[in-house]
Amino acid sequence: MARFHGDDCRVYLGVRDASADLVSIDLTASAETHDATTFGSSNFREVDAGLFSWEGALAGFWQTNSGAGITSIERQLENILGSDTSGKSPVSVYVGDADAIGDTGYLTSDAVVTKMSTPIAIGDLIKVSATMKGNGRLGFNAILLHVLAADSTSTNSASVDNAASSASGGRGNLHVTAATGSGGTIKIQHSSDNSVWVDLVTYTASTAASCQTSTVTGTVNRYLRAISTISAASSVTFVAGFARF
Amino acid sequence: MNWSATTGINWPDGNGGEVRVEAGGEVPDVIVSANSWLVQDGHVVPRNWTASAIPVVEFVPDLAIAPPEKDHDDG
Repeated sequence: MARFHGDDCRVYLGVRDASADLVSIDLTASAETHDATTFGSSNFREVDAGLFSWEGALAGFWQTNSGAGITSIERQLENILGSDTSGKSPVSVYVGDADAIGDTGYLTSDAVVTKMSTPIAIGDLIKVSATMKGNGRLGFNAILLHVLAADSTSTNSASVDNAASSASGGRGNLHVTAATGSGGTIKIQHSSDNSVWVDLVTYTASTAASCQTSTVTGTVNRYLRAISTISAASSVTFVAGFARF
Repeated sequence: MNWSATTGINWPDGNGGEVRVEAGGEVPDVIVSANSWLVQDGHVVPRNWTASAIPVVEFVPDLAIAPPEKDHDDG
């Protein structure tokens, strides 16, 4: 078992590689409980499980936004403040510098940014912080399937062996930070034998910077990989991963 | 037996590359035979052999046709 330093983390938020913006991120999963204590509980509280949820808190450096688009983390957070538009807010966090297929991490669902603040102190750089609430299950068991890089030809990425299949589905996150020409289509495939592959997640074709999160149910076979189908004279720059539930 | 993919499937082409079919495409029996999980997990189904394609024939007596009368043997 390996330990990791926070410095080894990379964070992708929506269409953005936020690794050079953020200084901290804290994703918290919670499970509600309901008191089920009765006279027959032998003097001990008993609880029944309730609803699950997740929340996130992140902080980064405030920067000016250049140009007409959204170029700063502050503008991106403002863009999703109070918005539940799909694809704007999923977060993927990978350790191990996120520079090798198989690096681990966790993936979030879409979320709503519920609060933003910009604390200013005389003795420090100006920061921006935000909190968010999730709209789906958090995937703690994520595997990086495609390092952030451009595919300019159709590519079958290297596979990752989980040693066994899993039975409870999972979440796949795709962050496309740029696309040229007609872009392309990204898929996540699974396999029982690392030889014959079946589509597990097929994302909507990427023709521009975009982000998609998707869940699947049921069996996820032992091996996983990402594949890209790139249009002629085009490219897609993306990072993709999958978290088994 | 021929098989039909229910989702996109890739398999080795024997030359270092891969063959891909989309959902509805034909998957060779040799591939399915060597990978029974494709059938077990529902990734392929027998081609042109779905439940809705099985003809249903009902045998119902036609009551409009009267049975032939027996010859009475009055002795």
